[in-house]
Order: sequence, then structure tokens, then C-alpha cells
Amino acid sequence: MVSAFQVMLYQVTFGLPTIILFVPAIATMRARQDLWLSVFVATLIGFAAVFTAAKLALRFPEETVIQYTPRLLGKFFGKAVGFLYIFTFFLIGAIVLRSFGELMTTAFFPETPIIVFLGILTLLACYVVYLDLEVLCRLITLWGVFGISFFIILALLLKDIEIGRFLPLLEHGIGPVIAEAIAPAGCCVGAALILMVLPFMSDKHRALRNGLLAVFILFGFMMLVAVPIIGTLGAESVSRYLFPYLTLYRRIHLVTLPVLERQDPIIMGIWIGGLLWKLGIVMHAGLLGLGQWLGLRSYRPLIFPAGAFLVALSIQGWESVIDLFTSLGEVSAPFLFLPFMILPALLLLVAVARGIRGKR
Amino acid sequence: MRRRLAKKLKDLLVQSKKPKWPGKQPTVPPEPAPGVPDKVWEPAELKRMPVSPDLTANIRLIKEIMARNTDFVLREFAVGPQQVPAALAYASALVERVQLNSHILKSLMLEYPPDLPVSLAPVREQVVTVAETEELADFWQVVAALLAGKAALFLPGESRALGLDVRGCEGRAISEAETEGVVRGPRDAFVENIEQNVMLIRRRIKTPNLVMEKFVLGRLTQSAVVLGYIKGLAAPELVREVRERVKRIDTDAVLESNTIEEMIVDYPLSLFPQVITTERPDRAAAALAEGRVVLITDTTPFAVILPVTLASLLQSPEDFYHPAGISTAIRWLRYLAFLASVLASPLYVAITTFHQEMIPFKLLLSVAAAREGVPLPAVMEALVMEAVFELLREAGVRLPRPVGQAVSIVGALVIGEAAVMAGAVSPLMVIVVAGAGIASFATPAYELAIPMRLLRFPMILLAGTLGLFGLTAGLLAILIHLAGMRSFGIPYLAPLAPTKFSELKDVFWRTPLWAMRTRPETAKRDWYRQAVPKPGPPPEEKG
Repeated sequence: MVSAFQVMLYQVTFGLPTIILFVPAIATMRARQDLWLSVFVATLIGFAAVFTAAKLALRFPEETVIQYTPRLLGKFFGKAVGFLYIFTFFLIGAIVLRSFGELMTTAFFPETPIIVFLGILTLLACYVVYLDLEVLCRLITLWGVFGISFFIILALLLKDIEIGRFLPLLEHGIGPVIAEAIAPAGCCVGAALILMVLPFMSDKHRALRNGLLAVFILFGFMMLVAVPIIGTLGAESVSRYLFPYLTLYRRIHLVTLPVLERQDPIIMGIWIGGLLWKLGIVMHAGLLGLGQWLGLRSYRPLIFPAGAFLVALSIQGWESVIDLFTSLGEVSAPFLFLPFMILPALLLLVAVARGIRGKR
Repeated sequence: MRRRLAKKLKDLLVQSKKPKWPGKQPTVPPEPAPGVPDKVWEPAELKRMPVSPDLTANIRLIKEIMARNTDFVLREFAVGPQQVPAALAYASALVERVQLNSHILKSLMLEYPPDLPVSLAPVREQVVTVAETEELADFWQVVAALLAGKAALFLPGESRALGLDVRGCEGRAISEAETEGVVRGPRDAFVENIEQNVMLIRRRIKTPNLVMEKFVLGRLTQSAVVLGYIKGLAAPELVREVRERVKRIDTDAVLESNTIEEMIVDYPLSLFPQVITTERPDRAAAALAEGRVVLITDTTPFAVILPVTLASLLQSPEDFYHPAGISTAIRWLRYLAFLASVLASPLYVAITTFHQEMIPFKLLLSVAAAREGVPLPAVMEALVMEAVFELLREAGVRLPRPVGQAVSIVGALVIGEAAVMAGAVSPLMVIVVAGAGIASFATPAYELAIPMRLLRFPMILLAGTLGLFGLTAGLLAILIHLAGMRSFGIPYLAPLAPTKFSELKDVFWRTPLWAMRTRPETAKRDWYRQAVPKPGPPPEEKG
């Protein structure tokens, strides 16, 4: 059993590493200096998604979405929708893995083959998933302590932020702002994962409130990402960097405290943890779903095959880091709206119309 | 020629078959004494043999059972003026002779009231002046009593023997704790005698709710194990679980508390300690007051405290004997030392091998200068140095005390200095390894310092092959392992993850004692520790 507080952190962790790592680079392609406005739009979308998802999940408090879709839509369509969810989780897992590998090879270890990083991270994730959701949530809580230090360092950049870099406001109108909200929103709607974890929550009545809170926290972090990046680097250069946030951290130089010349390897350490927990979350959700979809008693025998599958998928899925980024912005992020926003809304509609409820 | 050689060879062969010393021929095993076979006595068999009313039969049986034991004494005598024959059995090494003579034999032989009938009840109630007596119905009980250092009195016409507690075991005097020293705080430590250990705890906690349940474990050793807890504080489920697990232990010998520890912990293959072992009674008492459970084993001065969390392993009993601020500072120093003990050398390896850009320029110059001419890569250098350090530590433990000092000086100073002078290792590496070594000794729990020292080796390897990424991956693996562990239902990283905000008061800082109003999670059933605020000076009058 996990508490509502832990589930909230779980939902935040699902979005945060991707938001920090990739979203600025993708989102500034069109919205430029108005990235921070897109954040508002993304948050609104996130609120809507988590609201629908929580309402649907609370209708079936003891089951995951994989279990009750066949009852709602009939056997065939129900199983199809269930498969779509499982596919989504594994797809996100592959994206996380590959982007992590690309980060490591591009920024830190250009000579090392990418499979090393993918393999190690997947093995660790397998270990976490083997120990189950409760342990995963504990680890996320623990990592939160480090995560805070991650943002405290940002205070050192306050003096570099220039308001002029945010101007002109709405240079190309409101259109690009909304269009570019898709990538960050793709991470925010992940709070809809409550569909998978609600049965394991000890205080279920807090699911909706804490879900909304999670999106709000994500909003805060997105602002913490968007404002310093645009304010210090400027939209022009942000859109050219592959990992703008890392570049940001490379700027930090403590003259008065000459202990470490650069902080970015430490940031990398914290990041690895964040990405690992995210991978753990999607692997756990995917495997839990797959086990229930196949009617297995335990998903544990599937862990290692799924890990191997994920590594293969993440290597085969994209040609290069550019390919990955393009598909992230153009395909994956919009696709996430389907399982995390549109489908829950449809399912909720069906459930209300047919008057189906889960056991209390 | 050939024949001679063959003959010689044959002679040699024959000679080798001949017994060289005729006197050393195997002797025939001595005949078992008539009526006293070399029989192996099973407990079940002994339990089926009741004490019979026939005194001679009893004497014969007990002699058969204790055959060939030279320290076993059977004293036959006549009781009082009635001249009733009786027998007293005891193990001479385990009893206190004075007590035996003056309270039992004297009162039975010389001071027996002439008008009193000689049977068990009057002897027990009016004659023998021994505090603890018990009736022994079968020979299993008799033997158990004898081997525990009691005397057994056989009287004719009685189907029970009388067990008399005249134990007089020599033991070590209570002395200072060897492994858990403190600057301020009580000095006494547990000893090998379980009754003295129980006494040491009882003297600290004077409540009838302190329960000391006794178990007898080990088929051969029959060691006493005491399960101590405070009723109303310790969770009943926890006590029940520990009791069940301890009861299920079935083994030959319980010589040290580690036998019990290893048998009952949740993750027997984990490197990390899942109980606190302590030889300090004040620590055991503090644990009892927190609603934990203490297991004391006979013949060892190390008690076991359950359940355990990582935070409690990093606490020292002294934390509560110094002012709160100082304790907090020292505790943080200890946390840093705990991290440094596993991270210092891997970090050095990772940074100098992979992430030179992290080192400030001036420091980088001195690192490069120090490493110039060192033949080994940093990772090998670190591994070798760590191995040497571990060797010194182990040798220091094993060596006789007067020699140990010399070896550590020669090992640490002379070899270290010479290695640096010869250019075999860089001086920075020596500093780092020695610092990590000192840090590991600052960990209050020895059994926690050991796994951290062991884990340094794979961490150095990871850091040397994959830099900070490898180091992080290794750390994450350890963290996942720790987060996945439970000790008797309590998560290992308990107040941190899962987060219990009310308990962080004893983790991140040491709350002043007057502000520590609630008990920890393990003693949640009686949540409030103190009802009144801190007794201070009377409030000043305004005016």
C-alpha cells in the first residue's frame, strides 16, 4: 500500500525528468521566448487530464484500467484499449531509455557505446520493478531530497536573468504558444497514471486532490525550467542546444568556493536517479498491465524479457538523437493525449452512460 | 643384479607394510564397564524415564547416564537421626560448594528435626534453606538441572527428585564496553552471564511491564535466550513474530547471538545488518523504552536489538548524553563520515579518471604532479591501497595487543611513506584511502561499517570503468536494495522513506529531550512520552 503523498510524488516524477531534459529544446522550436506562456496552457491540459482520469479511476477504486475496460467496452474492444495502454507504457519506457542513453553519450561519454548505459539502467529498473510499487515510491520520496538541492543551485543564476530576453511578448501570436504546449503537456498528462496505481493507494479519497496538486507542482517546476533557461541563455540559443538545461548548469561557476569547477556531473547523478524512477514507473505500470491483460497471477517472470525488449526497442526505434527529438515533439507527445486524456474521457462517458461501477 | 634389485624392492615394500613401532599398535578398546554401556542418550528417551520411588534404581540410572563424567558427583548419605538413605547429585564444576555444604548437606544430615518424616515436601518446606527449588519428575529434567549447575536430591519412596539451585558459576566481572566506547555515559557493559545481563537491564528499567521471556535453544548447548520487551510499548505483533521465529530455531549450538540473528532476520543474504548488536545495557534499555525488542543470549556479551532502521544504526548512545546541539553536529559529522567511508576513494577515482573538468585548475595541477610517474592507473592504485588498508585492519584485530601497535605503525607509516617515496602510489591516493578508513571507523555500528568497506571495492571498479555514471549506478543499486528491505515489518530506511515527518526529529537533528514529546513509531501504542513542559525557572514578573 502506498500513501496519497507518495502517489503524488510518483506522478510528479513521471513528468519531471523529461520536462527538465528535453522539453525546453523541443518547445522553444516554435514558441521561442514565450515558452513560459506555453507552460500555463500545458498545466491547464494537465489539470483536465488528471481530473478525468481520477474521476474514472475513483469509479473503479479496486481495479486498474486494464481490468475494467473489458467490462465497459466489451471483450474485444476492452482488450484492445488495454493493449493500447500497455503499449504506451512501453513506448514511454523506450523513449526514456533512449533519451537517457543519448544524454550520456552526447554530453559525458562520447566514446562509450550507448548499449552500456541502456543495459545498466534497465537492469536497475528491473530490480526496482521486482521489488514492486511500494519500494519504488519509497525511492522516489528519498530522491526528492536530492532533487530539491538540484533546484537550489539555480538560485545562483538569478543575477544572470534578463527580462529583455522574454520580449517581445507573443511575437507570432497565440498560435505557436498553444501548439508548443503539446510537449510539456505530454508530460503533465502523465499524472493520469492514477489509472494504474489507485488500487494500491491507502487513502483513495485524496486521489483527485493530490493528482491536481501533482500537476500544480509540475507547473512550478516547468516555470523553474522555462524562466531561467530563456532568461539566461535566450530563446535563440536554447532552440539550438540539444540539452539546454545541462548547458545552463555548465554556466554555474562558484568563484568563491573553488571546490568543484563544474557541477554538471553531479546534476547528471541526480538526473540518472530521476530517469531511473521514471523508467521504473512505466515499466511497473506496463508490466502490471501486461500481467493483468494476460491474466497472470504475478508479473515477475515477465520483468527480464520486458527489460530486454525495452532495450531493443529503444535502440531500434530511432535513428539518431535528432530523429528521437523530432518524433518526441511531433509524434509521441501528441500521441500521449490519446491514452491519458481522450480515452479516459471516453471510458468515463461509457461508464456513466452504462451505469457501471466498480466494487467498493 | 636384476634379481637383487627385485629383492631389495620387495624388502622395501614389505618393510613399509611392517608396523614400525610395535608399541604403537592400536589397542583394543576398553571393555565397557559392566552395567554402564557407552550409550548415547536421546532427550526423548530421557523424557520417558520417570524418577522412580526406588532410590537404588535412581542411583543406578543417574550413574549410567553420567557415566565417565569425572566432574559429576553422587553423594550418598543418611538423613538426620532417622538414618534414611538419600542421594545428592551435582556437577562439581558448576555448583557453589559452600552453599551445598551448609544449606543442604548440613541441614539434612546434622540438623534434621527428629520428629519430621523424611519425604520431599517437608524437606523442601522446612529443612533445605535454598531459595529456588523445583520438583523434577523425569530424568530429562534431572539431567537438565544438573547441567545447569543445580543439585538434585533423591529421597527413597518419592517419585520426584528435588532440584536445588546452588549454581556458582565463575564469570568475568562487569567491565567497560570494548566496541562501543563513549566519553560520557555509563561504563558498564554486558558480560557472558545472562543473569547478570538481565540484571543490568532490570536495574535501569523498573517497571513490572518489562517482560523477560526465556527460551532454551540449541540441542547441545541448551542455551538460555531471553526475549525482553515492555508490555504496552512494544507492538504485540512484533513481539509475537519475534517469539515465533525464535521458537522455531532448531539447531545444535547457540554460542553467540549471531546464530539467532542469522536465523531470524528477513534478508539473510544481505550485507547490511538487520539487527543492532550492542554490549551496552543503556543502549538496550533505551531500545526497550522505544518499544523495540531485545534478545539476550547466554554466554555472550552481545545483545541483539530488533527491529532496526538505518537511522538507528547510525545513532550512538552518546547522542543522548550530550546537549542537543552538540549531538546534532556530531551526528551530521557521522553521517558525512558514513558516506565518505564508501564514496571517498571511488569519487577520487572517477573524477581523476573521467571528469578532470570538475577539478579546479590549481588542484588539477597538484593532482597531475602527484600522479606523474605513478605506474598504475588510478583505479588499480585505489584497489591495491584499499586492499592493503583492509589487510592492516584485519591484522590489527588478530595480532596480540602489544604487537598490534608496532604492526600498525610499520604498516601505516613506514610502508605508506616508502610507497609514496618510491613513486608506487600517489600521495593524494594515500590521503584519500586513509581518510576513508578513518571515516569508516567513525560509523558507530561496526557491523554497518564492514559492508560499507566491502562495497567500496565494487564501487571503485564501477567508478574506474564508467566514471560518475558507474558510481551513481552502484549507489542506486545499494539504495534500491536498502529501500526494499524490511526488518520485522519496519522499512529499513523508515523515517526517511516512507516519510514519517514526526520521526525525522531523531534523524536530521537530535531534538532536545524536553521537546521530544512523542515516542517513535515502534512504540506508537503509548504515543506521548512526557506530559508536562520543560521544568524551567518561574516566569519573570513584568514590571
